[in-house]
Amino acid sequence: MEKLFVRTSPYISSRFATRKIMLDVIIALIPCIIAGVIFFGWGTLILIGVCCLTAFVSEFLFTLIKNNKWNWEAVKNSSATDLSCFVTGILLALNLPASLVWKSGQPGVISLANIWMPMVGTVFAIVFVKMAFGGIGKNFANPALAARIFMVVSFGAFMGTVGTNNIIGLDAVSSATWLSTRNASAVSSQWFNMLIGNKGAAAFGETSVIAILIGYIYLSVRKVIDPRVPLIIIGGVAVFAFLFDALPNGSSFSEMMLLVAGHVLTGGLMLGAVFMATDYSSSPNTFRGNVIFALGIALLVVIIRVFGKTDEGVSYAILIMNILVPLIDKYIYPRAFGRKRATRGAK
Amino acid sequence: MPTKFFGGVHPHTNKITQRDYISELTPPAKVFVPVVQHIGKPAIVKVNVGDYVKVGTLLASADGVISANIFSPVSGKVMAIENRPMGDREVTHIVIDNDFSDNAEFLPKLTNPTKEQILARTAEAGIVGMGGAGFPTAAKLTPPSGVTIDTLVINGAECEPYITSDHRIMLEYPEQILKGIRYIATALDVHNILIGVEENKQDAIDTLNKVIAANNITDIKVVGLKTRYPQGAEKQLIYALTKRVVPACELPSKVGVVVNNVHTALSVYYAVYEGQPLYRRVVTVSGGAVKNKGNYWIRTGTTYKDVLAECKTIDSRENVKVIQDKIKEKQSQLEKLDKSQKSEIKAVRAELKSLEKELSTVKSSQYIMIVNGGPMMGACTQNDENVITKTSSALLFLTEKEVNTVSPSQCINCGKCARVCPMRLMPMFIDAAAIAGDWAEAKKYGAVDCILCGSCSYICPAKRDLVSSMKKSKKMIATRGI
Repeated sequence: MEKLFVRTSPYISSRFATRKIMLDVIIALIPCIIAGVIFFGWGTLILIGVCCLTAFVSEFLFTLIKNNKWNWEAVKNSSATDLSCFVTGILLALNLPASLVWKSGQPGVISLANIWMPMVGTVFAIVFVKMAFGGIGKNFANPALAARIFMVVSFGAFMGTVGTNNIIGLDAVSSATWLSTRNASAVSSQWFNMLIGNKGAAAFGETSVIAILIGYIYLSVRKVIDPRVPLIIIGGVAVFAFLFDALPNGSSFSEMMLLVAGHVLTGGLMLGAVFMATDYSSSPNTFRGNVIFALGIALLVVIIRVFGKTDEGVSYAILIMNILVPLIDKYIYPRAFGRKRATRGAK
Repeated sequence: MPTKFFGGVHPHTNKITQRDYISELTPPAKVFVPVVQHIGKPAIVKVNVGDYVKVGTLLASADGVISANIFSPVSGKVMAIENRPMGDREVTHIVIDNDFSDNAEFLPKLTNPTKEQILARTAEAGIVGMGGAGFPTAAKLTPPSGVTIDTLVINGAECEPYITSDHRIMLEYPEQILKGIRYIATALDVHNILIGVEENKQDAIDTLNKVIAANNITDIKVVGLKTRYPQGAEKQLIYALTKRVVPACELPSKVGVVVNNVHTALSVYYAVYEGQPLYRRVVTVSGGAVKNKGNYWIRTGTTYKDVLAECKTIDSRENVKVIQDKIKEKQSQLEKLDKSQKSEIKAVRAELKSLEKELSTVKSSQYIMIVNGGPMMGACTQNDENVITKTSSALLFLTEKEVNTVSPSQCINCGKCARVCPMRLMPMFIDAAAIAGDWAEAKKYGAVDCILCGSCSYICPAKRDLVSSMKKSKKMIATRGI
């Protein structure tokens, strides 16, 4: 008789799998991609394609070179096949301005002259932020976010806010982001455009609040992310924006509320809260840790936006909190069921 | 009102056999009765080779308090007393040839027993906790001095997938169970009795309530529990029912609670009221490879092989060989054929293809794993000569489709394991510490408190073997005294 299968209990397993989770994230990003195409034209698809391809090739080559095995078995076992590199690729692309594939001075006219920039950014994300630290689950920061900051520092002139160039015939919006003026009357006149995404953006994926919310609902229903964490970040930003921006600068209560709404609806906040701050490896593992993490992000976002030199602060805020995650995880962990606080611990 | 606890998972319940009435499985021609069917010391063999024993004859007697008597499940001649493998160790087994006369030799029946008589009888009849742990019931019913027990919890949760034995006995023997519970309560002198049943067994809750109402019982309450694994774990069950938290590394008696399984209560009834010692139990035989799935009274000492022979497989392993031979034959036929005979080659190839298809369907109905107990915490074995004991609540023959055969990949740090852990531990950190050999770190994140329920391994998207890291950490922390 052939040998029976033996392993440690349990013998059955849930539907969750790394690849399926990554696929769910990619599906959740589709509305954002569609919104990007609608408001910034077809060039955005080129950006996504280039980033995904570069991400896959660089992770694939990295694993092969690292293991120094060049056979079919190694190809099959490469971590590039778990789809996480595509998530990084798409997220990085969504974080880039659509103008990277436009001819300078001619919005909407596609030109591939600068296409090497997203490629360099993607290689940085995969090789230096993700794989060099041990690959999936081990990276200290969100690779897409770190690469975006790397690109802002390196190619700052190309990474500014651009206006929409939409393909559905809406009035195109000029390039300034609301955060540079923080003008309450602009919110009351532009709130519908802000919601659907017809607004100037430095990252074409952040433009449509509605598209991101669809992705958020999908991820929550599929139990990929903890739905409370993005809510805490957004709610935290609303509260801190009220305290630091609306209270000192608003003249009436309705104006204060409009300012708070402007903070919540513009910039990379939604995209960052839903897709970046919920990244598994660069966020804390406990809910209590996540609350600290989320509130920290919210506070930093508002401080950078209101008191900082740049208009936009979500990526810096998340990156700073990413670096604090090991510290949070070191001190915030639950007390075992039936243990008293005083008797806990090894020493 | 459903009550619940922290964490937990909800695996597909797969309770295929929940509508199958309990029937008696034909006893095998030969039984192998191990002297260890409980936690604690092995019992001392009291019979010799050649002795004639009846059903219920004492084969081995308890060695101390944490041990239990072993009784003969069949009548016949003792053929051998030998060491056989059981799990990962060697255990003395008493081999008896069944003469199929079922001559019985029971203990005297007790009517209106006193507290002392009940206690003596549970010890005498070799009753152990039948939920899986196998702790001698008599020891459990004698709480340490200075401890007062005010609540008796009866565990009818049965949260493991596949298993339906407790569900069926609650439906078919409710009066007997309630009488057994009454005996246990008398022995403990408690008047607050809670029966916890998961809400996916609403019919069992209704049946018990009906009997309780018919007999005007006031101190027994049936409580519906949320269907969630591991609802039947002792500490989680006590918390769900009484909101009392059992301190770490302590027994439930610390908070005034004693937990017993429903099947244990049934066995107490048989021992006291009918004088029947524990020599058989209800076992759920299930899994994709079994043809006659069901709930059976099975004598202890019946080998898995004999159980499967009675319950039949959907397709026998010999069939695989027959088809494989046929395929070989066709292949040699194909080689002999000349290249010019195109139509013949085509015909043979088509036959070969259909045979291969048949082989794969037959193979998919073959079992690749034998599990004694549920799929979450049971023990799997390669040896089908292992036997049913007092603690075997289920025997599963699982096919490839049912078993997780995916090899583990790198942890993606999703934190799902921490979210489902009913003990509020951090399995991913314990796993990392165990791989690094840092046992102090493993202890910091609570490895010693792990109840090995397997929720973390179940939920893990990377299919990591977290439970084995837990087991290893527990062992290392205990042996090195960290």
